[in-house]
Amino acid sequence: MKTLAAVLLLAVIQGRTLYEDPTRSIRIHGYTQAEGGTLENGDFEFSMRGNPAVVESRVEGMVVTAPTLSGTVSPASSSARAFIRVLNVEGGSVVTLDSAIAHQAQVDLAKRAGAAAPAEPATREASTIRSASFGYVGTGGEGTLTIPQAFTIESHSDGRVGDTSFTQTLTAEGTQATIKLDPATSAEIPVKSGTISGPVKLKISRSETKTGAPQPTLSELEGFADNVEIDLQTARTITLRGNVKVSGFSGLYQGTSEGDVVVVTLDQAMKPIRIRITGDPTKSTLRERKQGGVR
Amino acid sequence: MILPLLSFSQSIFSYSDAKGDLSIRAKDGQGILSAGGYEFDLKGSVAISSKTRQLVLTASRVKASIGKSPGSDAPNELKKATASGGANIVQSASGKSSRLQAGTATYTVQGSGASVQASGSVRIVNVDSGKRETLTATGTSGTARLDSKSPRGISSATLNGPVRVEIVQSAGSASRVVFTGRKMTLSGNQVSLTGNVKASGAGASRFGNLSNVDSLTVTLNDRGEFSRFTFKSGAGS
Repeated sequence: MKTLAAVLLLAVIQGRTLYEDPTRSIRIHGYTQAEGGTLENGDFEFSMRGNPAVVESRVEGMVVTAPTLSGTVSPASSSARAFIRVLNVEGGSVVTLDSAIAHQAQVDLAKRAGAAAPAEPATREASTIRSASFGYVGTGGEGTLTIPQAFTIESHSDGRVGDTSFTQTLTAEGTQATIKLDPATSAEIPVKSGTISGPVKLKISRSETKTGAPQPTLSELEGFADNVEIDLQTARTITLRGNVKVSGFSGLYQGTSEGDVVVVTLDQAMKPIRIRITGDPTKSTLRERKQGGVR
Repeated sequence: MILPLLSFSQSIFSYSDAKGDLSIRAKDGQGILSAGGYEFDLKGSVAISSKTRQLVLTASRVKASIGKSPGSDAPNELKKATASGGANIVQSASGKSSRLQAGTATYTVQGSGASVQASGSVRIVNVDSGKRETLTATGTSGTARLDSKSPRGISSATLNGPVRVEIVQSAGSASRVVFTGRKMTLSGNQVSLTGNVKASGAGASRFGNLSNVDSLTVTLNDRGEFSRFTFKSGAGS
């Protein structure tokens, strides 16, 4: 009975809301200890512990959980949406970025303002970043995530482009990273650019099905490198540098390559459409996949 | 020495000291002339005002002691008053003022200032030089220290609750922040609340809502408007 009471008490404490901005886009909860206040510019500053403590920014599709969290949030005003301005996270953190949450928040805001709801994006992207600690600085339009320690990223996207529906999973591991985000975007993925230091491990798995096709086309790309540069804003490339090893398959073909630099070009739906390898060509193989080799 | 009972069975009772500093009005009342001054029992639309102390006290009934206070030059001062039936005390100070309203209030002169013990729907209101109410605090009982030399008339106060404090924001007079809790302490430019404190921005305020906080301290600017707050919650707060 005492255990049940303790569990219920813990649930109540963990569910306690500390702060909500006027549009209920930002919500801070799950704390056991907290302190902070308002700043001259109207921002809300906080420092808290929890099991875990949680900061949500719905318009940005961003949820951050960690035992120790501090930072500032900018509440919504008549001219600007609410956003996370600064976040410092320690003790084992999880960041999720979900374009569906961001879209729904923007629909809610439009409804509240009596404006037309934004169109539902054709693709959905949900990413989870796990690391012992990280720092985040946002401006409302974009943000920079600085991860100083080992981390993993798991990203899932699905949707439809033209007559093709797809699902794609991307995983990345590295020892530190700096990633520029546009978390408030309502379409595609929120990552704009970034650098990852390694050793880096990258894996992209994709399944796509054309309308009327009997079965999906599967593809998988796995890469290792000393570091990785991501540019999804302009060139739409992922560049792997130093001791690069890439292997994978797409449809009926599979191969491996080793080189100094590998540039993977992606289309709008994050599909790898070109791989350019710089290095010793004798270390590349390409062959037809065996029957039934679809993984 | 027992002095004769003064009876004021008049439709309007009015008293003013020789300097015109202290004036008293009531519909009815009686008084005793004592060694140190007068003891009044006043009833019906009672109004007591002191120019020296920049004070006005009104109520349905007031039991008041008038006389010379220690350290004061005035020969007749309101030394103590127990007001009931809707007590209203206005303490002015350099253009600004504070108003204390309560079911009953006991006013006691202390040096250059005075203390007030209040109970029954207590309300404290700070009014700026433009007659704008910058702070309104309510509770079930409380105390206050009045001082015409303090910037806003009330130099300190405590309200027990549940308490509710509404403070106008410096950003605009239409914008207000509302705080609730179990206890409020006002001291100078700081307002502190404890016990399940909540804060919410109203009007054009862009603050939002804060809840489940153990203690919170609001800092007022020189105009008595909301400037910022800090809070603590959880272990060690």
